[in-house]
Amino acid sequence: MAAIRIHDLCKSYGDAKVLRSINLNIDDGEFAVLVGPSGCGKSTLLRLIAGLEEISSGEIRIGERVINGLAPKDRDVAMVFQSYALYPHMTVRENMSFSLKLRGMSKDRINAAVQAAAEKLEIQALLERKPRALSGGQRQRVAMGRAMVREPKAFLFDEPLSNLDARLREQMRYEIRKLQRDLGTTSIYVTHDQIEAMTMADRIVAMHEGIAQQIGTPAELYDNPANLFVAGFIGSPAMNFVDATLVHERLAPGNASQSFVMAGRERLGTVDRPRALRDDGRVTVGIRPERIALRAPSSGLAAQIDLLEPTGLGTILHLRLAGQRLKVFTTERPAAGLKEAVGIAVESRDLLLFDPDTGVRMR
Amino acid sequence: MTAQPRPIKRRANWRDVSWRRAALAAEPYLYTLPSVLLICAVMIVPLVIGLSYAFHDVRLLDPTSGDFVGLEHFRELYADPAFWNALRNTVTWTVASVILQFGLGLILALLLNRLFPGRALVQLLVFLPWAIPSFLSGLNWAWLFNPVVGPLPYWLKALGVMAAADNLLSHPRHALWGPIIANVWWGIPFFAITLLAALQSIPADIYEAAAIDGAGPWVRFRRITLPFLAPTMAITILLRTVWIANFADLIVIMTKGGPADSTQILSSYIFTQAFQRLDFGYASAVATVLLALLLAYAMAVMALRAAIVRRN
Amino acid sequence: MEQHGKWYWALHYFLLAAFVIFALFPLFWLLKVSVTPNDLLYGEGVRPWPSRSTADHYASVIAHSQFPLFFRNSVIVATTTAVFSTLLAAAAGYGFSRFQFRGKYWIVGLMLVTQMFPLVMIIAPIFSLLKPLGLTNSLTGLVIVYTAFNLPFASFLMQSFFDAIPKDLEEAAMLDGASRFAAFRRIVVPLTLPGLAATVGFVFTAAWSELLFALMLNSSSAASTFPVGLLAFVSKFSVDFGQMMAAGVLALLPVCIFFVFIQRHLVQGLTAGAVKG
Repeated sequence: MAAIRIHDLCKSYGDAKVLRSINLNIDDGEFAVLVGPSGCGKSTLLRLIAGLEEISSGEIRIGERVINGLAPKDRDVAMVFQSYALYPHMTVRENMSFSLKLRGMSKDRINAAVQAAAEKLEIQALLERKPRALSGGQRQRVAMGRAMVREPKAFLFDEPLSNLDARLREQMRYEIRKLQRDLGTTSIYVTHDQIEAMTMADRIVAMHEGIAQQIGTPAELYDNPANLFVAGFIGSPAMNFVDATLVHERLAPGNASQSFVMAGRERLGTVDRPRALRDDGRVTVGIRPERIALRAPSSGLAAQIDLLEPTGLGTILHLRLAGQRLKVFTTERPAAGLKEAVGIAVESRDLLLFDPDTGVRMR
Repeated sequence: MTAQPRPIKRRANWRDVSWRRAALAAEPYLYTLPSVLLICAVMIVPLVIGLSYAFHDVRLLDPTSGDFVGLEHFRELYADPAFWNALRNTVTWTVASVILQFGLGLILALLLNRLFPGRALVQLLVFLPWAIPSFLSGLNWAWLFNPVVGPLPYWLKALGVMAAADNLLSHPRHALWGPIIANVWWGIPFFAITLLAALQSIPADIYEAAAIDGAGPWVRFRRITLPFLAPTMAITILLRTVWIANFADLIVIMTKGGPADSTQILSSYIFTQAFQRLDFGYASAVATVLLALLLAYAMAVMALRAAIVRRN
Repeated sequence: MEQHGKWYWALHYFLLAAFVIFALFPLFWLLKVSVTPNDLLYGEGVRPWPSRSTADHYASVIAHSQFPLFFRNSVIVATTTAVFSTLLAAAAGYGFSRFQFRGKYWIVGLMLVTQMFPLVMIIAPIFSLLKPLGLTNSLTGLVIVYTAFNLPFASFLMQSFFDAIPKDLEEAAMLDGASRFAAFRRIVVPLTLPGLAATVGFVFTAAWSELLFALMLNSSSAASTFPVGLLAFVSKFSVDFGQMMAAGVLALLPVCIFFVFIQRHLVQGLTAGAVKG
């Protein structure tokens, strides 16, 4: 087990830059999740750490060792693949023993290690089966067992739950995280599913276009997104983005001037004037659907309901306000119905300001 | 606690990185180079030498030969009626063989594409000719055509194809059909197997959708089967045509090119020039012409294919 | 599965029967003449089966001719060629399947070119090259030549088999502590055994059947392979058809046996490569 330090890592394929200057420090025993849409570079980053691809520049350390120039077999990391990559012609026991056999361990010690891992994963009954006789969830566990048995410095997970159905995914999420906590092994987990990232990570690395957009705890990314990408990617239903302008007025002579967020002619709320305000006053305002309160049409901003999506837990309402679309999520059963008017209100602290062109958060 | 595995001690640095990069870059060559070197040594180098022979006087029996003669051999072959005859025969041989092999192979593949009891056994039996060595196939058919031991002369007479129960292979005008039939017998399985594999890769739901849309079997064949088969078949037919044009074994065995050079094709002509007259120079010149013709043919087919692809 | 009328199936089976008869008839005739005693050979020409059958021809062929020697030579040459070719082709096919590298297209192109030109073209140069090396009239010379001839096709065949194995299996093995070659040996190769068997079968058959180069390169009967020996045999015994056909049947046996085993994998193997043409 060891800390993983990534310094200034870059990767290009020919002229295409896939990863740009990634800096990342993962503590010993931490469960870090790399999350982002397809093509953001998260899998590439994982493969660079594993040694399955070569870096273009930069440095990767595990513990105190720089591992850039090492073959995968010398890096002492274990990987769980999306397809599990279990050796089809070997039994579960042989799959799990393979790495230990390569190291020249004695048969007894190998058996003991395999037995211990199998017990932990509750797959003892499957040891003599071949992979094709296993279900998806069972294969997942065997893949984990194969990784565990080596007691590596780090676990790498490459979207291991993508091939499972929704119910099974929920259960395996729990099992993987619990197992990792028990073992205490540093882990890097790649997924495109933000729910997996939020529920499993100690810290999340949100990636987009080869850049680590933000690194922080799930709460930090949720409450304090660093830019439009992170704000829109984390959280479900996704954050609303409204085109607005920031206007300064004195409400009354003698008062301090305040900054108002205006969407068209609707005043969404007041905010502290951000340091990086643009000359034309344009902002993009981010509002989480669950932070919008529903009122009677007369009190609050007037909006019209376009669509209702009940989710059981609550309802997602698709509204139209000042020509723009807004989603609201409420756990109460809404009073109004389709095509009817409803009033909304937002607290100032839930108005997140972003630069419309660069996407950076304005504070 | 299980025992600690052997610790991995090396510290990595930039020397390791460049060494590893070099090793990784060299890897594919280590896998492929042995084959490439052998092929170059045994096939490419002799090819170049062979091309050079075409321009030299090279006779095995005459140790003083080896002079450069320029285009002498080519002038010789231009005036050689046996050469032109062989060229004509090559076309007949190739076209007839390919059309019959492909056509009959396609029918066989279509028949085998349906599930029926005993299919595995039938498949084994109809594919068997392919396993027979070509020389044996040639001898076998030669014997079949031989009125002394074979039934075919009598059957051909009974069918009215031949006037008397002679050996088809002794008739200059029709002898080429003997090797052609042997070639077809031997070659149907190849096409049948390839076509069957291609047929089985067509997804079943396309046929179902067409059937629901009201398409009958002939329409389905024309609109679904043929277009799906076309791309793979184009390359296969191209390669096979070239291969058949070069395939001299059956002719050498069944007729030795006779009677009176009437069944010679270019590649068998080359062989008899090299093997019997031991005139390597002339043989190489004819071979060069054959190679040029095949390259032209291949390029024409590629161009045609590109034109069709562009049209779609 | 569609419903077809009775006429459809009647036609279907009729055509199949026609194909089966066409395929088997020559072989049947070969067998028939090989067991026909000499005295009945000319008289009973067209009967489906001789009134008296005999194993004499086989006995003479095996005991009194050089036949066993030719057979032995062919077995040696074909087996050695098959083994070497498959080993080299497996390595090359793996290289083509897993790696992108500079010159790959040149090498692939080179291999395609070798499939295109008439082999007779290099019969003379190869003779001239091998003679000074002492490799004419030798089985070794034939093995070298045959191996090279079969490598391109065998490599493409192995490549298609390797393409069917997912790359993450090797990656998992490499992370488990194996070098790429160890991963190739212990993980990929065991999974492609059917492909290896098919390739061995193909190359064996091709080497077993090759005639022209064997004819050209070997003039002594000590080094003759079966095709050459049989041809010489045929011209010597130009009227002893019984013996010739018996020799022919014996020539068939190894490849037929091989064929029965690999036949199942043929369509499978070609399906893997068929889509690529």
